[in-house]
Amino acid sequence: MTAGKRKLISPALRAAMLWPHTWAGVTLGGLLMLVFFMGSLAVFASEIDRWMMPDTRIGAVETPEAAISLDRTVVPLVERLAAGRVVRDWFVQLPDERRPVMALRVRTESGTAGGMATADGALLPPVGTLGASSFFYPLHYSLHLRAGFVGYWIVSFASVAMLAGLISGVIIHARIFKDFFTFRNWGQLRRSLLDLHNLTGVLVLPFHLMITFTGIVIILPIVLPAGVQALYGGDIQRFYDDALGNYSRPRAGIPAAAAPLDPMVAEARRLWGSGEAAVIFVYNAGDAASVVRINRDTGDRISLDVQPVFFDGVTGALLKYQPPGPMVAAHRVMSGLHFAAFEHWPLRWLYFLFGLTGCVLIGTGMLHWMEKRRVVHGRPGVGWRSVAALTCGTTTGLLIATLAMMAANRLLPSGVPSRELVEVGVFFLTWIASAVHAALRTRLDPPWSSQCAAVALLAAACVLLNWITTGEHPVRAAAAGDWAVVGVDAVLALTAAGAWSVSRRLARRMRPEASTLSRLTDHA
Amino acid sequence: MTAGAGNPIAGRRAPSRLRTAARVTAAVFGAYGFAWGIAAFGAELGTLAGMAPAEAVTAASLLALLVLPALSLWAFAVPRAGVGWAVLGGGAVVMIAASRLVGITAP
Amino acid sequence: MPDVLSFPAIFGLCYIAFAALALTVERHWRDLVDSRRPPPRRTVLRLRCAAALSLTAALSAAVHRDGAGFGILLWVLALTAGALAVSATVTWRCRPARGRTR
Repeated sequence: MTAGKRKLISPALRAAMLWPHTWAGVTLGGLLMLVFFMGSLAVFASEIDRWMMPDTRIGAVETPEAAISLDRTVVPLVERLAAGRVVRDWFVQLPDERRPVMALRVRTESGTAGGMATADGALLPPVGTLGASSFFYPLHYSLHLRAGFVGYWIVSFASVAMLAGLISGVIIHARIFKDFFTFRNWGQLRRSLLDLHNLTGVLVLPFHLMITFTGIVIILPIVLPAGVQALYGGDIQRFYDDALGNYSRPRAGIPAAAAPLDPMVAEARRLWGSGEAAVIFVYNAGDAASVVRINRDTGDRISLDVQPVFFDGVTGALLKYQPPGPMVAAHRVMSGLHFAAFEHWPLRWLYFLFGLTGCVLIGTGMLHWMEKRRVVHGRPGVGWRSVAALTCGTTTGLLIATLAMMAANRLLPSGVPSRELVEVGVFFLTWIASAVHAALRTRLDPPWSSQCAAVALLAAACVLLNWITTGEHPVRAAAAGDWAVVGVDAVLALTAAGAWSVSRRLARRMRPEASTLSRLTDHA
Repeated sequence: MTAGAGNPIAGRRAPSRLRTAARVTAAVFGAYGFAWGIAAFGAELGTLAGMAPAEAVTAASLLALLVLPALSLWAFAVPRAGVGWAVLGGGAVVMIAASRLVGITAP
Repeated sequence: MPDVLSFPAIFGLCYIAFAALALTVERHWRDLVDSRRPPPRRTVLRLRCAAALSLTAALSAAVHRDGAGFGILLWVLALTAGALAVSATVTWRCRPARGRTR
């Protein structure tokens, strides 16, 4: 097998692959690091949300098993949120195992309103944060650049480069089977870095290929709209309606009374055969052309097919329920593989862990380039220093920014105007500050030691602040069965301990070290 | 994506910076154009073969995404950058034209 | 098998499989077992058989636990986790030995 491989992969091919592999990594490594890190956090978005929104967890740990009545519980909430304004559309995400509260969003004639409510219909005070699900997670796939899907395009471009990097990496690293388990973390630093780069690249290759590929697959009709252009005249909405069985119609402008929602949910459950309703949308509320959409919960399966059922909002009659064709179903399975929306704790932890090994893969690649350059060129130039600062800013700097935002989340009083935006501001300002710090202090090396110390202090501060502001320390949370808080606190504490020991070791040695990678492995 | 097809400057003895630029643009734009061609032409062929439009679009796009990274890398592996541009750019033009043709003749 | 124990069991089987495979690699055999001789061919064959058996057992346990879709996904990811754990073990076991020879 190896002999055949050797013939297939000529030395010339291997040499040709080195250039794109190196430069794709050096130029896009920082962005990919952000995408992989935020993606790893997004796996536990619900848990981090609970940590950042204490109101949504305290006293709400157990969900009532009895189905929530939409007509008796949810509709009055919608009216309260609308506060007298005319409601256009609204949706509700029903509570689930990981989010014991329901989330509502109402679009009225003048602006939108959102809120969270307990399962028995008590509206919670505003959470005052975007949390992981509305900040870290969108940062992962769109960089918060919504206009014209610019963020999607950038992330997809980097992802294709990542795929190309993985493939070219396998071609370059021909001794795959010989080096399969080898990580020599003693001796020369450059060799250790390369060992770890190869190790994570080869061993976690199936996951990395899968997660990168399926990540692009989700937004494929947007970033490669060739087929949509050819067959749908570029109308992406019409394509989605057709592919996913969606249904929409314009407002009629004639007021009409709404039909009860609970029978529709019952009918949807009958159509699905099994499973629960997860999200209920009401479009054109109070209008003669009102449409109700009911999405199925996908927690029990890999596929992200939400099997939407559409009802006429006035008569309650079934409008559309169209299972997708085999190719679209395959597309939904691939999307589901990426989303990991399923209820499966071992898998969720493995996704988190392997997402972080993606960070290790990218980080060691960049560090290896830096070490090699240093050896070849001696005195570091501007290019080297920029990459060094970029590497530092996207590893420790990113961690510092994330932790600073979580600390700010616990520190800011709830009365601060547009509190969620202040938190976002803290995130970006800290990130910029740590990047500037890295750029200014990078001479022979980026300031790994001091940034690791900052990570350790911030992570420890987060655990303490959570304890002080909510009274919920890990032991009490564990006793209460509040595993989201226990998990987040535990990972924070591990991060603090790991980053602190790395920082101490670096300060003692005062020489370059595989700091990021050991810290990241500790973090996992 | 047609301009660079068969670029004679991108040969063996050309300045290395220009050659590099030719390869990078081929890997980015040429490969994307080729993938676009596969997705567009494949979708048209799929409907001709009797697939539902949404199915054909999805299948062809997935296929295009599958080959896209390999195409990008091939633009670096091919001995002459010009050949890479010619194949990727030319293939893209041919396939997109073919898909248009199919789209016009078979509504 | 209780649900709580089945994941460690799957992971353990993957770990055993990759540990066996690691011993078939000459470098690790020399580091861990016998620094003078490469692994005998019959041992290599046996180790590979053991690895294949463990992997099959892990797959069947995973599919039995979670059904085909989740089971195969869990198995693939557990494979990676097992391989990473084996390489960590190899690193840990080899380091002092190397230190002494230096």
